[in-house]
Amino acid sequence: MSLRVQDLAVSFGGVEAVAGVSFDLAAGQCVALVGESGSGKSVTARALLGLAGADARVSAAALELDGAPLPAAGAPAWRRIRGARIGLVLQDALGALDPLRPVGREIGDGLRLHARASGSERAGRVHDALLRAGIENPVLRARQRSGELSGGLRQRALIAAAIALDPPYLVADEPTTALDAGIGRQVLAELGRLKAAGTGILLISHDLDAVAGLADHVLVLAGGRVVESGPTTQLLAAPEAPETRALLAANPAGRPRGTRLSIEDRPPRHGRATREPPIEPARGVGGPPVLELRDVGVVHRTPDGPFSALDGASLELRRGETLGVVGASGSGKTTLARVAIGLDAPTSGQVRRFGKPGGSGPGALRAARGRIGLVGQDAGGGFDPRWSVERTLADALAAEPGGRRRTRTARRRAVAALLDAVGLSGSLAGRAPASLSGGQRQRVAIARALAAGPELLVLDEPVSALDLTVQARVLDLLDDLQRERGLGYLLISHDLDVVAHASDRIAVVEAGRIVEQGDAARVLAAPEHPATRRLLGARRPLGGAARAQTDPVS
Amino acid sequence: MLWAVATIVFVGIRLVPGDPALAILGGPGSQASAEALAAVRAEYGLDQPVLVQYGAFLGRLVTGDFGESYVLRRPVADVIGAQIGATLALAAASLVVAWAIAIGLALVSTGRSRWARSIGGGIETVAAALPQFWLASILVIVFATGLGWLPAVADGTPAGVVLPVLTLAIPVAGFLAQIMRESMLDALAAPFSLAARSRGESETGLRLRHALRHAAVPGVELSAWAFGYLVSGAVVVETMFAMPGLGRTLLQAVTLRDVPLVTAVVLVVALAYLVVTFLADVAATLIDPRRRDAETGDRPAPTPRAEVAA
Amino acid sequence: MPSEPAGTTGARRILPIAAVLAVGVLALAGCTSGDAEPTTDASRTTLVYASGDAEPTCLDPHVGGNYPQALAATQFLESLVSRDEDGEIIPWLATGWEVSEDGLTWDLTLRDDVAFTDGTPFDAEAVKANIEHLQDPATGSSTGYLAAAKITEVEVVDDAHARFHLSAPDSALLESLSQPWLAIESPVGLSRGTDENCLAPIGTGPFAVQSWTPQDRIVFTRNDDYSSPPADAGHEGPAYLETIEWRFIPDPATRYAALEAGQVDVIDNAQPDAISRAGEASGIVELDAPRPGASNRIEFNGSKAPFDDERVREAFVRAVDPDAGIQALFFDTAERSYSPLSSVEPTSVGDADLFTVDPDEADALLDEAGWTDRDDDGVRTKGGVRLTAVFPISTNQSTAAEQSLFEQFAASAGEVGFDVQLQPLDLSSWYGALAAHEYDLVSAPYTKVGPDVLRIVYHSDSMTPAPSGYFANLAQVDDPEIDALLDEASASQDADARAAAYADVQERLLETYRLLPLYDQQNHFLLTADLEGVRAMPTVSTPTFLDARFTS
Repeated sequence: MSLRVQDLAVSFGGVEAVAGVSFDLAAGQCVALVGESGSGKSVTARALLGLAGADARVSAAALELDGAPLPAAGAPAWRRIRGARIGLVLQDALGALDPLRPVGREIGDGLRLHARASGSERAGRVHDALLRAGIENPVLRARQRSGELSGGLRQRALIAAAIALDPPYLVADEPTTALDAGIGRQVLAELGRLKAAGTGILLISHDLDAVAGLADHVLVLAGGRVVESGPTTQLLAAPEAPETRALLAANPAGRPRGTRLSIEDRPPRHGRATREPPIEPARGVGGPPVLELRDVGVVHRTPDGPFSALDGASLELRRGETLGVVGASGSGKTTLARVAIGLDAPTSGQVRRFGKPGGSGPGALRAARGRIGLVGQDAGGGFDPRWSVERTLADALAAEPGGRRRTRTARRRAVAALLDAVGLSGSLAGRAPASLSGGQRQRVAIARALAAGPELLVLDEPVSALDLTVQARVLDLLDDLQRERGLGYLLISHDLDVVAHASDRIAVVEAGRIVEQGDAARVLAAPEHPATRRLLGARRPLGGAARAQTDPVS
Repeated sequence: MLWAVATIVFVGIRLVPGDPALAILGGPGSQASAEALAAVRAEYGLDQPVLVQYGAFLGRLVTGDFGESYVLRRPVADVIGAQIGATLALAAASLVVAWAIAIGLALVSTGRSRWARSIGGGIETVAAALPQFWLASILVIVFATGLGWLPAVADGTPAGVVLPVLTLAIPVAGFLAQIMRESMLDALAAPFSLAARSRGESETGLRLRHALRHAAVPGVELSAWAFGYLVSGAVVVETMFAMPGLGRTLLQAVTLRDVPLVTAVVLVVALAYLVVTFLADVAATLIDPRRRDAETGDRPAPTPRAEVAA
Repeated sequence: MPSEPAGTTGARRILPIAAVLAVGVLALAGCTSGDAEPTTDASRTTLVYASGDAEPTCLDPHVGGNYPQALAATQFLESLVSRDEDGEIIPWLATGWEVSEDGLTWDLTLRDDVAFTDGTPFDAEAVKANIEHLQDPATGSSTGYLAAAKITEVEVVDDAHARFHLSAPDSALLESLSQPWLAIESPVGLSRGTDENCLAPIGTGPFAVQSWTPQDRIVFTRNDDYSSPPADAGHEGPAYLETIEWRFIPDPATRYAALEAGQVDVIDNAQPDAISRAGEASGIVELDAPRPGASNRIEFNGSKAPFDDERVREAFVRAVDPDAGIQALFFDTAERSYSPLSSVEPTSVGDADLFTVDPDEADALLDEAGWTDRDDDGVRTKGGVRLTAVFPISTNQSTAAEQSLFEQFAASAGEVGFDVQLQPLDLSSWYGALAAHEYDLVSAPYTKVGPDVLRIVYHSDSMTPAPSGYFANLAQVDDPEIDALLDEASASQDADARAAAYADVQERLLETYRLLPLYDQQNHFLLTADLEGVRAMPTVSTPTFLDARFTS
């Protein structure tokens, strides 16, 4: 009894997206498909459910579910298979559950479609599924909509939807991406339980760590083809294909400060191709603090009473060093960033920038403009979609003292220089942001932040939306830039691995308070506060020992 | 806002040529004597300075005194009370029918077959562009004169209401369907639709259970606007099909310069519009409680599209 | 009275009867004897009438006084006298009349066997009460008030005799009294006050107002005690129909569609296209009943330039071609008129030769009048002033076909150098423009029984505006000789002398081109062929259903 795939190929309008994929998924087993965005993982997964798209052409030497071939595309027979024989767990629970319908209904849909059960029976099974997914108080939760649930509950609800029918096979498409580490771990644990109970799981992810704990067999895809496959332990221990190695290398977990994460050739910077060896951090740390927060508090007025987003936060940042701020969603990290840059005013305490007391609001922002840059998470939303890259950067350059007086040629040259600095080809200048990849967009965002020659960059979740390998490259770029220009970084992330890799000092935030702060190495090795310990404990299973073996020293 | 409407009406009526005193006395052709005109002017305060008249006008409105119709010699409130039911019923019925047509059109134009989609889309666009006068005439020619299925004018039977309601409903249905189709297409491409399909949901079930609800929200919001359109369309339809109602009343009142009646009708319509807008807001929030949470009043993030090739 | 929404075409019949009442004549022939009964459908007793005119605001025709009121009042009110097709005054509620030598006293003998539907007897007291009601400013009468202007007092001699005292001789008194706007209502009904009487006036007619739902319909029910038809009616005794439903359908297309579909039985204001369509359809017949009074004509404002110059007036007449326009736009439903009076007036006089179309002659006349220069647009100028003619058009009264006709005229006149500026206006604005003398050309119908309308429209007294600003002499004719003729005709009791005087007036008006006659005031009705016995009253051409019944 297995899901057997042999030589699966999917093409769209003549263009081949996936080819030559073969694996066997047996009950109680887990097969993982990993690769970068665009490698064809999701297409493959969806093709197994007949959901690759109306214009997809799927062909395979064999595509069998428990011995019987899967139906042709568009056939009504699919409806009996989907949900009941093969389940699908999607990535983003907020989007994957209809925001206008109560969660219980979403879960109950599967039952309605496949099981002969009366309304009350269905309700009972829905509650059951919610409990199994780890949600307490299922009666209340079933009535709520996905927007009313917290991130973790939402994800579990999504799992509940998939398991309500106990399908023998489950496809999980990026189930942990964009989730807090703690919740991600819970999701993986749940999947593990299902696997132990006999469900065959096809796990799609670009995160090898997540894969490592669950999968028995791994296929690495790149460009629609399988570049390497084998049992998990073997693959992780001795990766052969360059893509696999790049994937492993890109994982910042446990990688010391200053080591490169990406190993591929990048577009030449400053005219040189670089494959630099890891460098010991030796930066120009020191000088007066460029940013100080003293006992800063931010209190919001809400209909339910005053809510304290920040309380008694104090920190310092100097040029050339990175202060990493880490904490779970909603812990107050973003408020901290906004106060630091001057977008929000603190209700108590003091903020000093470049040695001077800083206010907030338009005046303060203008004063600080050019000296502080901001890089946010989703660069796509931060750009005017009608402006070309060149225009965006030129606009940012105009903020520099003397920037407005530039001639057109001088502007063009400045823009080209910026693009070069972030490792992008000058030919991208005329493109619209929407036409760039996620990684390219984020680089442009960094270029924009650098345009006016700042001394300090505030980076709010700069890499959370990026693929692992792309993330690796961007982190390396930030490193290079910091070394070259002596920038101070306030790095905010929910991902402890990223923070651990990239920071000199770490501040841990929980419920609006900085509960621990200090040298990165110290905090990671000997955490004092329980929150820190929790964060550390939630880190991915692929811990220190296995990492060392994959350190790509060339 | 009602105050603004009242002021606009006051100013507008005064800008239109035609002596109100004459209107009171029975129209321009009446051989009113000088004494009679003077008496009327004094009684109605028409000889006062404009600002004084305006003040008196507002004062009366605030106390709910709409006065007496110049032409009909009956309290305006009575006239409106007698006619408003018919117009509201017409507008409501038209809105319901428009929704039914719009949902049908939207389902077709988001369907699976390409030619059905383009035909559906084409019908929506054409319907939205139809002028009511023309549409009414065509419907009468085809269904009343030509096929003889329906009466040409309203005659108290349900059949007599079909053509008027269709005349109003079809253009509104076109608008509604266009917006709903946009939302439905968004919803059908969203991750939750993929998730629903993965549970074995049929395309029809997907549309009825998921997409329609998403499409309903902008539709409900548009319905508030549509109400205004329907009320103004009621003027045309009530005249053409000889139905009682506020539209016809208003037309006659404007022609004859019946100031109190015009003022009152316009205000009533404005008030009704406010109420409908409020109700639409409530209804939309019931369907989509996320609107409540948007602090700045912005719409919540549009439904994200699922990446197929990721 | 100035007419309200037009219905339109005119037909100038040489023979008095012609085929005006094709159905009516047949029906009359069938019913006059009273005993020969065609196969009637006794089960259909309700007639549905759909009017294209505006719904009256008051059913009492004493109040205001317009044509929609006359149409409705014909069903339930009656006048002292009526008129037959030859134009002769015939008895109705009054059986006889005598006028004194000096013309200042009229003795009317009244019927003594008639009662109003509320039981009140019809007598001289009632007549007196009605005339006083008309003359009371509080009533707000315009048409009736004007018509009764010379009556100083009505004296009750006895129940069956009323004596009218006049301030000056009025040869048109009986003609005025024949109109529905001076119909006789129950004095008890009148005493209820205007507001209540407006809802359901009480009369002596073959039907009575049962109910009126504004914006919906008026319902008339048969007066079972009816006994007072005019001398030319089809039969004695009550009407055959039991109920008349009177509806208002303003849009011509739906009105006609309703008739075709059988939803209504009679419609008025039938447009040329509907009439020609009905001609082809079986099942629908036409009743052509031109309104009395003035014809449908274009008048020139003779009080100011450019039309104060007779040559310019004639030039305009020569430049435009009404015959061609009427033929094209009215589908042969209207006949060209060359008289200021309606063709139903026996005293009407016209001369087609005066109105030949000759654009070259028009050019010559304008040159002679001094309009020799032209500006860049081809419009003639004189002393720097353009030859402009402002033409306000009342959209309530001029039908679509008529407006198109005027547009054709504007184009034709433009070719000889006129700049005709058409201004479509709603009723109130139109009256305003007229009152302010902002017109050079105008088309204003006037419905009245009898040639006395000439005095109202062309006597110099009518140039004086009423307090409302309105004046009837739009052509601004200020001719002492015409005034003298009109006064003489008004005072004369000699029918021939009257006719001669009115003929003289008409000739003078036509020869000096004070007006351009077009056609009779159009008044076409379309009926289902199942209906017989419908005729138009020869007074103001409103249909009466006294003799009407359905055939199977």
